[in-house]
Amino acid sequence: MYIAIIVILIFALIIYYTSKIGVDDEQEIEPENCIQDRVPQPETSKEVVLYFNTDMVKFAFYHVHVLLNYQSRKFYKKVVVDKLFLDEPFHTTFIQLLQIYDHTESWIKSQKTKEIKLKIRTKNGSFQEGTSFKVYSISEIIFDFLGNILEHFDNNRYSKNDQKNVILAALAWKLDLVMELKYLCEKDLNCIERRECLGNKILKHHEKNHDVFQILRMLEARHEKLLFVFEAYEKALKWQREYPYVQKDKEQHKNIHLENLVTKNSKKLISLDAF
Amino acid sequence: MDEMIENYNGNNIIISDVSLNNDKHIKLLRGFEVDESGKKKYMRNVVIMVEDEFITSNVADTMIFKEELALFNFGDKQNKYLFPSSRTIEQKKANSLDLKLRDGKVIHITRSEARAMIELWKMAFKTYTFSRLLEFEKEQTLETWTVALEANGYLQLSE
Repeated sequence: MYIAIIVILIFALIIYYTSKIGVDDEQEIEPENCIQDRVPQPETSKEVVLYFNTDMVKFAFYHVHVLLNYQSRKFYKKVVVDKLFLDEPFHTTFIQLLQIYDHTESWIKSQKTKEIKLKIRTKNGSFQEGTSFKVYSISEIIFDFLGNILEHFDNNRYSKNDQKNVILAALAWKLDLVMELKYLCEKDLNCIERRECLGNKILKHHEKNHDVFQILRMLEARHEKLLFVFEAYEKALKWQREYPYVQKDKEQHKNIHLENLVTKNSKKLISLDAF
Repeated sequence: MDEMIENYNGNNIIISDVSLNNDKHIKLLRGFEVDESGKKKYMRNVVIMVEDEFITSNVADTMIFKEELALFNFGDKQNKYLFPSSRTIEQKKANSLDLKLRDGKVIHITRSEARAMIELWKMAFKTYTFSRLLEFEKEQTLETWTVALEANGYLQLSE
């Protein structure tokens, strides 16, 4: 009799506990289900390909034929077309600077050259004197210089405005090497004053308090943040090609007239495909 | 030896120099034209270069320079390049030939140096014929000289 009661009690206890465990399990599962309901799983995104008819999208560009050198054309494409730096006055000033460096036949003396003084007797019997040495072409140096700066922009993050201002300032900074522009400024200026004078003439569309002028001043002061510009110039000089050159007594340079450079009005609507 | 080859006026002139005096940097530059088909060399121009300066520019002038060297102090003030002078070195009179460069520097050539230079001169021309040099001496301009000097590495800074 007692045994039967104990067995029944044990059964009753077992049933009670099993039922309780089941309830606990259910209670634990519930919040998981709730969370799953609330936070939807991220869906696998589908690639959406949009086709633009690039023949139809046209921008106001300068025609490539205003530039003579293939390198200046390459940089126009790289800066203006690829990066879409189309705003004024950057666009016009940039292409004017490219045109100046395109037309110039100036040179600077190579660092690795010897000078030989020549004295030649001509057919008439008169003498002709000259000095021969090796030179670098200014336009080649500047295009390499610009290439190095753009390469630096590719590897480091700079804002669009900074990129534009540094490009303009770096190109305007080296204008004093262009002998064809010497007539623009007075003769008895030192190199810093001459650079400032030429910078003001070329960057005439920019306001006086524009960042470009600030960067030009920083370049003159050899500011720490712009050391990459100096490095780019030295790198361009290091691997430059040398040409033989003979300097006679009188040298004349054709002047580059700023009025002959392109103006805003000569832009045309051209699609991106054309480049 | 002297069969006619085309009187070519291009820039393929190979320059080779004979150092007449190392201390005073006096060199004899000989411009050769190489005939690749016959594998022959023809001398086309001879000039004298002192330090980095051309003293003479054609054969006739170079011959005058050589004769003035050979005469030494028998020459006089009518000389064109080298002027005989006398200096006192350690209280003794010494004769020398003075060569004035464009920048005002004066080079003194002693008698023994002059004789050595004449000997080297003779060696430098021993196996070559002069007929082509005299017949087709290359008339060069400042530009052609510059290109030839650059092509032969004379404008390269050696240091």
